[in-house]
Amino acid sequence: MYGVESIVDADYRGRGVGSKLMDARFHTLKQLNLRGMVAGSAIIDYHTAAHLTPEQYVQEVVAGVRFDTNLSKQLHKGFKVHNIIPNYLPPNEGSLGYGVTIVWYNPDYRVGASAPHHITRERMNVTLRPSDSGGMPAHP
Amino acid sequence: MPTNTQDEPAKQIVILPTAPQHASGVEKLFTDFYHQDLTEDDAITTEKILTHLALFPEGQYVAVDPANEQVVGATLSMQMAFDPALPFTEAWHITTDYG
Repeated sequence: MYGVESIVDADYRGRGVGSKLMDARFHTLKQLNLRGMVAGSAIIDYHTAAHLTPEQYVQEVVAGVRFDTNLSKQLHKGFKVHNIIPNYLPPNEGSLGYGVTIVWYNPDYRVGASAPHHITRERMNVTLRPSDSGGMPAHP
Repeated sequence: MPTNTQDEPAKQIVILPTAPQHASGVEKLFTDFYHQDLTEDDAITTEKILTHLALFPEGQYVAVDPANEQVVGATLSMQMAFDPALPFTEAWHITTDYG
């Protein structure tokens, strides 16, 4: 599965909505027996540390030394960094154009098992947590 | 015992599989966020959302506030082949054909 886009309304950010939407994707790909999920993650705070190379910046985010509004939350959801993408977005973005390919591997993937014809996708009721004012507006 | 009558009740939302009737609400989310920052090609339109829904319905989800039925979050996904042994360096608009 490739994450094309994900977005949360400004009034609901920082309250776990994006995390629950990602959980829904994980649920689906497990049911479909997909290997995992791939996405491009814009490193949207890189402009604040542009004295570093993108590789150094990402290493610091992965190590937890530095917080990136986008990538840090995806790492928290279990994604792993695969490689840097030099021209992921236009260079005028906060990422200075850089993105990172991130991968989430399905722990339940069964080699050779076929996907079911039907999967269940149930309505999930979610109680929002109090706002942390650090919500992620949009990401893959 | 002290009480705090100003405490708001916990807010509830629901996560749902995206349905065609959600498409315009999803488009509005992206339009409100990106404003004029996207070119016409990059914009996430109702037409593109419905295409994702037709191609890979299992991968599309929305978050809805049941108080007003407003779409307050959305994800779009697609299926693709990926070789973890190789770097994957495509720009977003190439991989997604502009969304």
